[in-house]
Amino acid sequence: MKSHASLAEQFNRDENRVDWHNETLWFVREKRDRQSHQVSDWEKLREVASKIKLNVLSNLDIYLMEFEKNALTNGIKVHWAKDAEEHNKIVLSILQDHQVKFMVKSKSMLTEECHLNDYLEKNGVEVTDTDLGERIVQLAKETPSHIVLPCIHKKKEEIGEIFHQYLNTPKGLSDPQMLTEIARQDLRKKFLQSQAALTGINFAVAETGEFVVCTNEGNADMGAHLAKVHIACMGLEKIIPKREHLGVFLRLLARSGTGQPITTYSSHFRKPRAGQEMHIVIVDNGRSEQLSKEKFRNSLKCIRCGACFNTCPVYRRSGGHSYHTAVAGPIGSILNPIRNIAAYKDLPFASTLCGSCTHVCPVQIDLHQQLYELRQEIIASGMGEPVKSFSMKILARSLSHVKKYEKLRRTMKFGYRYAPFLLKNNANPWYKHREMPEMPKESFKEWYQKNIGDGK
Amino acid sequence: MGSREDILSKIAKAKPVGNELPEDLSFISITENLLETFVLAAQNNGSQVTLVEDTAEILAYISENVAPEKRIIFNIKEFRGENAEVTDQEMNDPHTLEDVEIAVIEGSIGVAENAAVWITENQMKYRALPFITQHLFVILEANKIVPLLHDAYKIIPVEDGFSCFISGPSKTADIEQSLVIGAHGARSHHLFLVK
Repeated sequence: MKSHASLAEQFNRDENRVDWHNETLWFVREKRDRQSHQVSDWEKLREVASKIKLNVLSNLDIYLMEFEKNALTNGIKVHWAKDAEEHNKIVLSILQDHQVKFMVKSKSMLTEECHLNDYLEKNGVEVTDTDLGERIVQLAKETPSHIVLPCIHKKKEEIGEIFHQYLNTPKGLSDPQMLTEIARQDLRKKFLQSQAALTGINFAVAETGEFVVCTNEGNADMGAHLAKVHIACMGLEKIIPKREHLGVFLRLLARSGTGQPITTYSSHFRKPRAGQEMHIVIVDNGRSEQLSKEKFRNSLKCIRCGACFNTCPVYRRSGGHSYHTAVAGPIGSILNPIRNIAAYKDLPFASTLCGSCTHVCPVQIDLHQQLYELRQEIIASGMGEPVKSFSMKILARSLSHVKKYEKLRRTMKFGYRYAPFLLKNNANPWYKHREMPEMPKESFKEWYQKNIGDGK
Repeated sequence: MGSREDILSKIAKAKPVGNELPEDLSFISITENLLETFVLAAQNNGSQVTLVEDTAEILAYISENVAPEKRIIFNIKEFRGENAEVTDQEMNDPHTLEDVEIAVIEGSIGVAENAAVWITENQMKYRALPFITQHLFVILEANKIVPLLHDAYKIIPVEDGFSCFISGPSKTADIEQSLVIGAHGARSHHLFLVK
């Protein structure tokens, strides 16, 4: 059984890599800080974004229907999928209608969530990921480890090796400029030969029936504008009410995610071009269920900027793959367990609850609060780790009885003084990554009785 | 029940009540030195900026700096340079744009805070053009610069088809966070601001 703790332990074996991973992501977090400080009413921007998203949740069905109506008027075909399986089937059937054997795909975490690539490959469609980071992990037969920076876990020398293996480049390349140029040349061929293009959707505007896709590389546009068929897939929470609201979200998205004032391309698709077919697949896959959970529905506001990943001290030191899901990091540690608590009960514990994620979230999701709530639910339902549950039970029992507590304290003090190795060993899970605290000479109670208790 | 109805009825049951839309969408902006702010933001995005008096200067720049055999597409009516291709004739297949070296396109609105320029499908003529070209030249009248993105959305019309904010050259930092200019789209982005 995969768990975050054991997968993180593997990642932690290479200490230099952990340090490097940590610093690389912190660098992005610092860029985010600089950008956000340049906007003098940043907090108001967050507040407004949060309010718009809350309004979306209160009117989600109405906005979706409005969007559908307008998109249909614009000549876009709209599909609805209740789960991943239906989503994959819809995409495949569109491709089969056009006898598509080859498709380019721009970044879409939703399709990762639905395992679309595997499904299409099994059904005879070759899929090429076109975001550079995603292309690299695809060649390496891995999954993205970060929703915005998919191959942040890879060093440039390793990428050179992957290109050598799969793209027949000379051995030993590691210059990012050179590697990017190689990928550009290779992917350009793919763009030009592709019959269909799939993109994600960053924002779908109910008022106009258009959708916005943000990239820095221009890969979504290269694909969509060359192919005869454009399929855009969206989680149903991606809807926003009006076009004027785009101003709020586009100012927040790139600043929070990568520390840029805006992405290079913010493309607004409203109608297929002449001779092109445009499809939108609106996907539920557990989201309507999430909406019904009052404590956790706030997480549906997420705009997938990745800021909570970059700031999280646990993510930075455990790597994205330790979360064993398509969406890792703090937000993934909420979204995944809400949908399947048994499979992802380890994730809410992959946090220090420091609140840094909440602090940087552009739409004010109370991430650490929700992680805390999830822990409560997991422990209460008996799914906690046995060792932890047992020790917590013992502790709870002694802390709630004065006499038992006193006895335990005295035993501990005695034991700690004469046999510290009983606590300072690897069987004690607490000691694994921490130093044990020094024992005070006297307890507060003893001190109080000596100094205040007597004198009154 | 189809998935559409299924999803919509589940949402109707689950959605919270209340939560009005915020009315106040006004944000702090500085309206002085818009041109300077824009130019600085553009340079930070990795773009080149040239201030020109009129469009003739742009033609002169191109004839001085671009090899004559390169394929250039002008999507601007008044431009009819000797080596330039003016795309008045219709072209059905965007794949034929594969070898375009330079595309010269007009933008309609610029945003000072991030140097994004709004370009419509009409101005591109071919949606693929600004992305497939090796180098993109964007012409913008300096008096069309507004402070914030919100200001731009107030005035840009909802047009049919496709439109895009483009803020610089195609770039990526996917390899160890090293910024590389020229991923899939234009390798360079040259803004000509007409005073």
